Amino acid sequence: MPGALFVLLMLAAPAVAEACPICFRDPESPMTAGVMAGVGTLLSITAAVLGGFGVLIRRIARAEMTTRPSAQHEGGQ
Amino acid sequence: MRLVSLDHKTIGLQYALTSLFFLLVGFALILLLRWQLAYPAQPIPVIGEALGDGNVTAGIMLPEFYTQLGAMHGTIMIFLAVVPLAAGAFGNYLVPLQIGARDMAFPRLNALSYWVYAAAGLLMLASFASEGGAPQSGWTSYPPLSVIAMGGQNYWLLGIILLGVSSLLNSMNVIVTILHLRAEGLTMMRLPFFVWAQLVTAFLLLLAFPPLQSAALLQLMDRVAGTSFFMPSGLVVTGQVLDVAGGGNPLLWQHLFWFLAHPEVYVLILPALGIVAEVIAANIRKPLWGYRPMVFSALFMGFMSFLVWAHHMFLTGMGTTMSAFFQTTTIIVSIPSVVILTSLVVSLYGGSIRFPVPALFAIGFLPMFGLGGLTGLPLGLAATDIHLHDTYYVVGHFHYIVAPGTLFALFAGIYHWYPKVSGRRLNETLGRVHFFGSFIAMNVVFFPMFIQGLAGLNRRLYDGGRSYDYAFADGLHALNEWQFWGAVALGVFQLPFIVALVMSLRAPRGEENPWHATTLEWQTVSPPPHGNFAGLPSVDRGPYEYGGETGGADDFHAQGAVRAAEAGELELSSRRWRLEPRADTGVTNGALGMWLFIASEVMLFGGLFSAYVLLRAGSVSWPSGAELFGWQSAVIGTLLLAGVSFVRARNRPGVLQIGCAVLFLAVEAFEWSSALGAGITPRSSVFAGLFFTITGAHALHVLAGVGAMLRNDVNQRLLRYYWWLVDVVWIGIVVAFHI
Repeated sequence: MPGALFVLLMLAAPAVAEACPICFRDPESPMTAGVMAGVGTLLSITAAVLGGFGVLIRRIARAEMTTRPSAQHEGGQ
Repeated sequence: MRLVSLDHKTIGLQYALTSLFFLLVGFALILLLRWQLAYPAQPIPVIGEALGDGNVTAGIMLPEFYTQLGAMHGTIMIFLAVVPLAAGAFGNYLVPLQIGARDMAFPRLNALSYWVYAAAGLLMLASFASEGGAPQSGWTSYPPLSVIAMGGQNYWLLGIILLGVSSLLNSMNVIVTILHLRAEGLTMMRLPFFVWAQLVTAFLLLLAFPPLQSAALLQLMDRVAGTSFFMPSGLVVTGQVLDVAGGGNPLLWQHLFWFLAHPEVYVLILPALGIVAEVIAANIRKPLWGYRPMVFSALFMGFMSFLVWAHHMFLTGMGTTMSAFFQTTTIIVSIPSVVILTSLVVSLYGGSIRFPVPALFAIGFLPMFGLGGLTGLPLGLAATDIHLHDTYYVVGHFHYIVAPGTLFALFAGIYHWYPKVSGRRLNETLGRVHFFGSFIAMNVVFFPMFIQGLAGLNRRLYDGGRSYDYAFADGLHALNEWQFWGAVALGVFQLPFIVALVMSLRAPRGEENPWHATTLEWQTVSPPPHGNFAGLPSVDRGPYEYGGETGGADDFHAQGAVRAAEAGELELSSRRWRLEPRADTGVTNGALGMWLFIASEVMLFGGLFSAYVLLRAGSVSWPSGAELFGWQSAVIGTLLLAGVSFVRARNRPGVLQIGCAVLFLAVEAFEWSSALGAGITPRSSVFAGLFFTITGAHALHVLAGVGAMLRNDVNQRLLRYYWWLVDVVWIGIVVAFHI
């Protein structure tokens, strides 16, 4: 009986059922905002640095394309 | 072997011996820990009484000692044993040989990298002798526990900062060496896969370690200077509200820690995959299947591994948006691993497979790594992670990646290249006993962890969960006894390896190329002399031309040959790109090294500014920097740094530039002193703590720049790049603290 009541309550208030306080916390809380902003900042900086390395790799690849003797003897099958 | 040497082979061997020593120490610690889990409240046999009163009572392990063992086992195995063995030892010894170089690009920095690593290791070991013993907060050092823990934690933090320095020096060296010192004809697509793996690994270490260094610096500030970056307000410890300013966030540590610690997994895996690829190719006598997809997968894995770290934080309440993003990237990053593993497995098809000991370890690696990888998928999904997080399932998963995974690959590499290092082979019979014994023992230790974890048994419990209400776990405790005896057997089965090493010292010298392998390291004598090759190596084909169709009459084609060098040619080959830019990268060795260093520094300050943003955005109130510190020092500091960077000097910086930099330091000192005079200290608030920490780190960089300007042997043109970095960080400081 208590189980059935619990299920009924959950069906009546699905938002409450979704808002597991441990797993998903309050999306409006400053802590969630802080973590999102911190993660976003580090992601942006990382993307910028990796972009720089992408440019270097592209430069090396282009240089190789123009100077390599043939693609026949490269690695593997 | 000289104790202090600039030769990459000596440094590689130093890394190997030191990391194997730490591997043994880490294993000894876990034997003690597993005894406690198997037989709680029973005295440790033989050595129990000798462990000291602070660690045992009547030979029975105390909880504090248990937590020290757990924390130091993880720390030693990851940071001091496996990564230095995979990247430091194998990378240093083999990369120059496989690309036909005479040494690393920066031999002095290379030697410094090893000695800094050794110092960090000794410092961390010394923590056992500190008051309160070694760190007790797990290898992850999560605050707030780690901030309020006893003194050993400081050793850990300083050790991590030093390890970051060592990694930076090593990774810069590996990248410049591979990109600039390749032999004639050795294009990127002719590089052995092992070299590609080391290249990507070096990028990971270069960029991922600095944010952890910034986190370690912040935690050290919390512990030593009384800041509270990781300490929330109103924290109650043993019934008392902790006397800290508060306002910090423990999740900040997790954010910065996992930014390194997840890519660190790829730092473990990639060299292992590289080794396995080499060993498999040499023992199946046919080319690797899918070389190009493997290379692009390694590159993709490297890029993606920076975008997955927060899947370790699903349960922290960071929100569904973040969880969804990191869940997606985590599943994506598993694809390149699968591509590489599949390529290796498919390569076996149709091969004339030989089974010497290296091949046994390499082939044994494949299913073990596969098991480790597949069991990781449920942990990458936010929903299933709720049940599995912090259980023994996680421990089983990452041990399958690292122990029968990476360690098997490393043993494959040791057996495979030992004839190159010493000119002698390790005993085959002992090697087989070593492999089969280890294979069985490791599975006895680690497989039951999946069963325990799926049942919900938590990790890090002093008595394995017996004193908790784990009724469901009754049958699972018996598995701990199996695991303990499995660990003992694992230790016993390492003895044949040690005996084989000792026996090899008296063994006769063998063939120069016992595996009939193709890559360049086998085109020189064993062990290779100083300078590696008698002449100049040149390459005219790919690294895996084995077998009837491609391998020619001898079953294989060496990748290149070594031709006699004319007078001065050898010297020129190693110095050439020091003086003139290479056509493909467009820069000299020094300039490339400097750009890599700057990239690493950007990540260091990126970590610090990310901490600023996280704490500020998560705060309900934030002070005004303009009101606290004013604008005057910002304007004067900006003008002075502009003076350093943009005043034109000929060959050496003039008095004006050096004067500007020194005056800048004086302005910073005045600003600090004014703040302290006004009662603003690092303890005052998170904002004040960030101000002192970030401006302090920046001032240290200015000081280092002044030191470099005063030296005659520093390339001042390259130094300008460094000052641009200092300027950019200063702009960030002005925005964060003065506007």
